[in-house]
Amino acid sequence: MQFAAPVPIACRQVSVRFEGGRDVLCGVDLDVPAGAAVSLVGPSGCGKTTLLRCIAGLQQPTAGSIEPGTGTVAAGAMAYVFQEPALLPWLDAVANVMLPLDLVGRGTRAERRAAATRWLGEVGFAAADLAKRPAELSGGMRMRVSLARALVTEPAILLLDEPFAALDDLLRTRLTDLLLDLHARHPRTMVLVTHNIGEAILVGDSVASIDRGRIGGTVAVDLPRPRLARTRGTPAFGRLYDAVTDLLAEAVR
Amino acid sequence: MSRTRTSPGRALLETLPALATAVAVVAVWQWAIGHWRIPPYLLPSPGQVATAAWEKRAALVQAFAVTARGAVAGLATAAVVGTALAILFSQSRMLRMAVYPYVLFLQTVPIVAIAPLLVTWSGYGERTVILVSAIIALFPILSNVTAGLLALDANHRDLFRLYRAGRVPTLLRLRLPTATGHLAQGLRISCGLAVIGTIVGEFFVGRGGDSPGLGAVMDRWLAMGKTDALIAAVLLSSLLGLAMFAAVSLLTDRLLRRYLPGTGD
Repeated sequence: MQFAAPVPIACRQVSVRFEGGRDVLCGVDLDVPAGAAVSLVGPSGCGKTTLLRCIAGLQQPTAGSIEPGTGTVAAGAMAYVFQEPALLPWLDAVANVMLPLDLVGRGTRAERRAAATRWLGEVGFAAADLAKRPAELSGGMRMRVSLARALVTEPAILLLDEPFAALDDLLRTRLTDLLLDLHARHPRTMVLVTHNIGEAILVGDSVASIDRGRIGGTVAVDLPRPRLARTRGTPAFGRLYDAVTDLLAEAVR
Repeated sequence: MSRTRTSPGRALLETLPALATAVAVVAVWQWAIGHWRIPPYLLPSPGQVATAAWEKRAALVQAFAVTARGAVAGLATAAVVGTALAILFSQSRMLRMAVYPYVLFLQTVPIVAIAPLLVTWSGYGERTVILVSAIIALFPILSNVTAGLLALDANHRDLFRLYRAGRVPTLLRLRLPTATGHLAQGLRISCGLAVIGTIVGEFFVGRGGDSPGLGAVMDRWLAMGKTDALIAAVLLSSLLGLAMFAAVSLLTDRLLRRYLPGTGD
């Protein structure tokens, strides 16, 4: 199976008003070029996850438009990694990863199983644990399964909602490295929501802050790829870190 | 995840307080009969009950088997009908709003009031007993499974929406597996009710029927003033309820532990 060709994301004047009249997004404009990665940062409750859910088609905007709309891409061309691994507890690791292929009806059962096993290998999942259920896996292993499940359909767009927030620092660094490595080998359009400034800079080609329901500002990340966690130690990374921190300070002011 | 298992010695130790209570109750019972000179037709002694149970052992064992069969059939019927109705309710909010209040209403009508009607409609036979048992056992299963089918994890629901899963795949691959724990809980609550329903059904059917379950023999011994045998039958019906609960708990616990590691409590 080949990855679907990356497609750009274009959000135009996207607004979301929750029941009760609270405006979460107020006319967001965001462009993510095909194959590029954008990190979204901002204070809690600023609307980052809501914007990601709108892009995924899981939430309808009250106003505005998003391209590609869910009807314009094939099922499985867009993948979403949740804050929690959100694995089905009654399925083993392989069956959990096979699930998206089962749901979109792609390939034979043997092909689906082979793809799931291959992707679990790609994310560094131990072969001995393939038949284990989520309750028998560590938090890091569960997140690897979740990542493999998102990638198994070879999506054109990958949306990540604070995927490593619940993990310890060491594991978080390892999984960020893994994400960078996967993006280097299989580039796709990617949007990462995160509270971690370092992670936002390492993953993104740009970092955008959301401020009171709008894009507050953007910092272009000109660090060369491939990037590694140790890129954090470079002076260029330090300058970007300061720039994103200033952006966030504006957002919380 | 490994699970701490209770050793046989510890399990025995944990049942000792309950056994001690039973011994104390029997002792007070025996003492009260001698002290207040209670006649046997009102309250026979524990020894007289044991003797009556031994003398009537053939009838009691047969009645126990008949009632157990009725209760299991009633519980199974309630499980199938309750799950099927819950599936329908989970698929349509409108249907749920239209029918669920009447299911609640059915739950509030005393089964003793419905049983004679069921005998009129369904006749004096085991079918009526199973029907009474199923009706009384239905509600906990229906309400638990409906709740389980609707209580989806928000991320799981989003995952299925993201991959545009239709109603049937979502039902089969997400809703039903999510509801298995709720079904197990409903079965545990309903198994005691199924025994009660069977005995109530037998009270009514037994008068004209040919299957002497515990309800029927109790009714007969009540009419004959055989209080000692009646108490033996009452104790046996309690034992049946406990046995059903233990069997259903053991079965569902094992299945859940196999199906959903980390659960099954």
